[in-house]
Formats: sequence, C-alpha cells, structure tokens
Amino acid sequence: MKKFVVLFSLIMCLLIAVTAFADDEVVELRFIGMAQAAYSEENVNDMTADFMAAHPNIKVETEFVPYEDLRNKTMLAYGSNSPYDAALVDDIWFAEYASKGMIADITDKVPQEYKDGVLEGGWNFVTKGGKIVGLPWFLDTMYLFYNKAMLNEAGFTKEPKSLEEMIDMGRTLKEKGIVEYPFVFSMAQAEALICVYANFMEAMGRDFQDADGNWIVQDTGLEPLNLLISMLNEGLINPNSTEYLEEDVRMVFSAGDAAFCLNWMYVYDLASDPEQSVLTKDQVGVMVMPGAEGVKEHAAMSGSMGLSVMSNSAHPEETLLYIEYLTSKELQDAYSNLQMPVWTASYDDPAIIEGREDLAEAAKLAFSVMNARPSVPNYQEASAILQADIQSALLGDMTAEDALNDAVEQMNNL
Amino acid sequence: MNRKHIGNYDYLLIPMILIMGIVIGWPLIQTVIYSFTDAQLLEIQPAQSVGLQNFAKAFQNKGFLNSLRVSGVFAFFVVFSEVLLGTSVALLLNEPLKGVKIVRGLLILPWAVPTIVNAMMWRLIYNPEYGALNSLLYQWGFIEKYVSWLGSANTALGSIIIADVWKNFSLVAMTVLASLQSLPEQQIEAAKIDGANSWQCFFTITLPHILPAIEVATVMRIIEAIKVFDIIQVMTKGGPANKTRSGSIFIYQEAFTNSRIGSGSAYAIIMVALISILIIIYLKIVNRKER
Repeated sequence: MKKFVVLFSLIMCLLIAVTAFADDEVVELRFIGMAQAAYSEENVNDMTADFMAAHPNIKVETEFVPYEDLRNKTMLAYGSNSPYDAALVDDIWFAEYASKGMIADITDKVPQEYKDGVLEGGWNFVTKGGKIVGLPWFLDTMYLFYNKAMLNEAGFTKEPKSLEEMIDMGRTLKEKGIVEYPFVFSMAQAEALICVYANFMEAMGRDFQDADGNWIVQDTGLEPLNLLISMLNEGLINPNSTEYLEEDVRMVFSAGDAAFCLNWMYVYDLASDPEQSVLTKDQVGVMVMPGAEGVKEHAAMSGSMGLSVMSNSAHPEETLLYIEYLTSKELQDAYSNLQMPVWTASYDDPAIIEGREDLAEAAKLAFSVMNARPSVPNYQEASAILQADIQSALLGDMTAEDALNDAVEQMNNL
Repeated sequence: MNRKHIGNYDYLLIPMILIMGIVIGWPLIQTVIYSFTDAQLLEIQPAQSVGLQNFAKAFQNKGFLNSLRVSGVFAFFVVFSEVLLGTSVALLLNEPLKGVKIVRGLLILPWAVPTIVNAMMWRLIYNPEYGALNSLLYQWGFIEKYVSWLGSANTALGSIIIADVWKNFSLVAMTVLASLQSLPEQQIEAAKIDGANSWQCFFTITLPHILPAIEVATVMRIIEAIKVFDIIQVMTKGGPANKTRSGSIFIYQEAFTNSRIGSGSAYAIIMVALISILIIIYLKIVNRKER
C-alpha cells in the first residue's frame, strides 16, 4: 500500500510539473461578448478559432451574455479574481469604464494603419479624455426601415424626406387601411427606448445636455416626447411597442405588420430572409431617419460598440493582438454580410457593397451625421430614470412635462 | 440509544456549521458591514462609514418604497390566490374520483417547471402579436383587439401574478392534500350519522384538520413571494414604468447597475428584516403545532 501511495504521488508530481511547463507556453485569455444576431456567438467563435490557429501560443476562452447583462457582468468580473482580458463595450459605457480605470489606454499601441483607415465616427466613441481606450468593432445606428410595397400601395414612390412627411405617410397608410399601425418601435423599459427617443431628439435637433453637461432634456425633450405620445394616441405607433425590444420590432416588421420601424443594421438581411420574414429583398427599404423640416436633413444616434483591453489583464499585449485581429480590415470585410466594416476603404469596395448598395449608402451617411447619447459616467442610472419616466408619459400616467421634470430632478441628484 | 450516547457524535455537525457559516453567515455579516458604508461595486476609493445614513435614505427613497409596495401587492394576491386555488384543488383531489391518481401525479408538474422556463412560457402566452391568451380571448369575443398584457401599466403586475400562481398553487395543493390524507374518514362518517351536512362537516372537521397545513404553506409562500425576483426579471425587468419593480429587483439595480453596494446592502437588510418578521410568525405557528 505504501509503495502504491509513493508511486501515485510521484506520478501526480510529474503530471503537475508537465502541466505547469506546458502552461508556460500558452497564454490564456478571456473575452466577454454579446449574444446577438450579428456578429453571433458562432461568428465570433469562428473568428477566434482562426486567431488561435494563427497564434498557437494564445488560447482565447469566449463568453457571451445578453446585452442587458453585459455591463454588469464585465464590471463584476473586473472586481473579482477572474477578470476578463478583453471586453465588448457599448459606446455609452466607455465614459464610465474609463473614469473607473477599467479599460487600458492603448493610444500609443494602436497601429497607424488603424488610426488612418478606420472611420472617424469610430474613433469618436472609443476616445475618452484624448486617450484611445478601445478599438471600434462595429458602427451602428438605428436606421429607418420601411416596407416599400406598402408605400407603393398608398401611392408613395419615394422615401420620406422629413420627419413630418414620414408621419404623414404613416397617417395615409392607416387611413387607407393598408396597415393598422404604420409604426412599430422598441419602447419597453430598456435602453432601446432611449435609443428611439434619442433618434426623435436628434431628428428635431435637440440635446439631452448643454455644453457644460447640465441636463436640459426637461425643456428640449418635451416636443419629441409629446410627438411620440400623440403618435401612440392616434394609433400610428403599434400600442404593443411599450413592451417591445428590438427583436420584437423586427418580427412585427418582418411579418408585414408595420410600414416603418427603427432598428439596427442586422435587420437589413433578416427582414428579407425567407426563413424569417414574409418580405422580399425589393420590399425592404432602408434609410437614415429624416430630420424635422427646417432643422436638419437626417438624424442618426450612435449604437456602436468597441473592444477594449481590460486594465487588469495579465496579458495586455496578447489581448491587444486579439482585438486587433477582430477589428482588422480583412476579417471585417470577410464578415461584411453581417456588419458593415469600420474601415473607410471597405465602402468603396464593390465586392462588399454589391447587393446592399442602399444599406452601404445609408451607413455612410449615418456615420457622417450620427451623434452619441449622453456620455456621462453614471449613464446607466440616468438612463434607467429616463426610461421609467418616459414610459410613464407614454402610458399616460404622467404628462410629458411632469415626467421629464421628475427625470431631471432625479438625474441632478445622482 | 440515549441522549448522552448521541451527544458523542455532536462533532459531526461541525462541517455543516462551518459550511453554513462560510456560505450564509459570512456574506450576511459582510452585507451588514457594507450597509453602514458608501461602498461601491468597484472599490476605486476605500469605503467610508456613513452610519445610519443609508437606512435613513431608504425610507425617503420613493423608488424603494414603491418597490416594497409592489412586493407587498404581489405577495398578497399571489398567496391569496394560491391558497384558495391550492386548497380547492386539494379538496377535489381527495375525493374518490375516476383518474384522480393520475391528476395527483400531474399536479407536481407546474411546480417542477423551473421559474425561468415558466416565465418564458408565459411571455409567449401573453405575446401581443401571436400569444395564445389573446387568441383565445379574441375568439371568444372578450377582447376586440389583441392586448399588450405585459406592456400596460394596468395589466402587467396582474399578468405576472397569474403566471406565478399557475406555477406555485400546486405546492399548496400538495401540502393540503397530504394533510387531508391523514384525516380519519370515521370522523366524517360519525358526523354524518349525527346529521351534519357537507358544509358542517367541512367547517367543523375538515378545515380545522387542514388549517395547520394551510398556515405553514401560507407563511412559506409569503416569504417566497415577498422575495420575488426571477419571474419579474424575465417577464418585464420591472417595467413598464417601474410598475412591476419588486424590492429584490430594486436592490439588485441599486447594488449592481448603480454600483452602490453600500445602500444596496442597507435596502437588502431592510428586506431581510421584513422577511425575518414573517419567519418569526412561521416559527410560532410551527411551535404551536408541536404543542
């Protein structure tokens, strides 16, 4: 028995030594991303597998969570014993992460070809306090998707040129009985509601904050909110919108039950996918949301995301290598059927924009005009306050004025 | 085997006490410590003591008080409905009906369904575009248009209550049924021979017999219902307009979304205190039963 114990111990020691030696060779990274339609978990895992094949000394463990859990999980892991090395970061979180020192300053490490080649709009949201704290992964905004067949049936041959014209078109569609609810938006108590509201704010040329960062939405946001309320009350917006997130909106639009919807780029292909939609490719129109007459021509609000190296990563060099790979032009071009690349040159590449010229055109325009939601360290909390109060106004529990005053009062106390 | 002999093996409890101390005791102590500080989720600056400030703020916080109200309303209607439905079903299943044994077996199914699955299932049932509930009510003529059950301030909480009642009434039913099974039939027969009708039999013999079981089930369900988190988080995330934001969801948001572990802990302690009061009631009921 004694001999067996000694032999067993020796074997175990040998195994541990071999494993420790082998571990020295391989760097293990952890990445947290988002479970989404595009890039999907499968897409990112394929990209990661290719990266690992090209870098045998780096092993990347990927993890995906829904958008709603991404920030909390990233922050909780950052303070734990097993933090992530790289993380997907929404543009509204960069200010908070940077202020808390969670993401590494990579200003001097970003290759010059990235600085020169990536769209200007991308660098805007990953640069905080003059320092680059992430690489743009995909640029996105809420586009206005419209059902061309419905518009044609009502006698409209061109897309709306202004916010007012868009609403009038919806009214005509309803009056002619072509569709019961012309508009469907994601207005559940979630960030999606703020995205929709911010688009209307943008379209009407309004800001959430003044130049000094003071909240002024109680004044500037009143008209856009009243417009949404009146559209709901008039039956132009699907009343179920107050329960919908983006995927619900996509399904309603894809079922042919709405003429207009605001949604992200990923909807473009899915809305004409025969397995997911009753619409055909030539029935799906996409454009940048039109601005209010006399205010601006187009309005877009950024919903972009970037990749960052966490500041407590044990392997920052390898992590940067990994996110550089994910954001590289070659890879983004290869997956351009899912997300439009962040590289300027890609938009002039016929192979990439072929068959999706209208989306490429809309994207190019959107990225040149889009603004960001308020960039404040406590954005998440401010957004939660706005969501609840805006919903109260939409549901008729409060007037728009009371709702926004209450929101600003609470946000000023943060 | 006498008590002294058993006492020799008391040390066998040490691992359990240690594990409970680590898993339950330490986090609880840490939460109490945090509740008197301004601790943040990420400790960028060391937490400072703020005394009772977090507790004082809790009772001035409209959001927290409203979330307690939501928890209270949820618990009241959920427990009332579950006890009423559960007891009725138990009485029915105690009768010698055909196929009753199969139905008794099926009774466990809703309770066995994980809460998250139950919540997802009811979200589909309530879907305002293709949900089964809308379809049924529309076909029967009860509604003229499909309704957004979870998107309306008037119906969201009620819709979640129904989903929770469907899942948990069977626990009450099983508890009461077990009690009914131990009721000697001779008592009922003797009462009937003495001229008692069915109502008299129920109120003078059956109900007093099953009352302790109903009390235990009620208190257990009140405690669970007040803590409600998962079903609401999946179905509405506290919306619309915070109409379904329970105390637990508020605490989660305060601690993890707003990163304020200190005040989040204070709110949690207040919730624990409320639940503790209910546990004391529960223990009193159990003690009374034992006496």
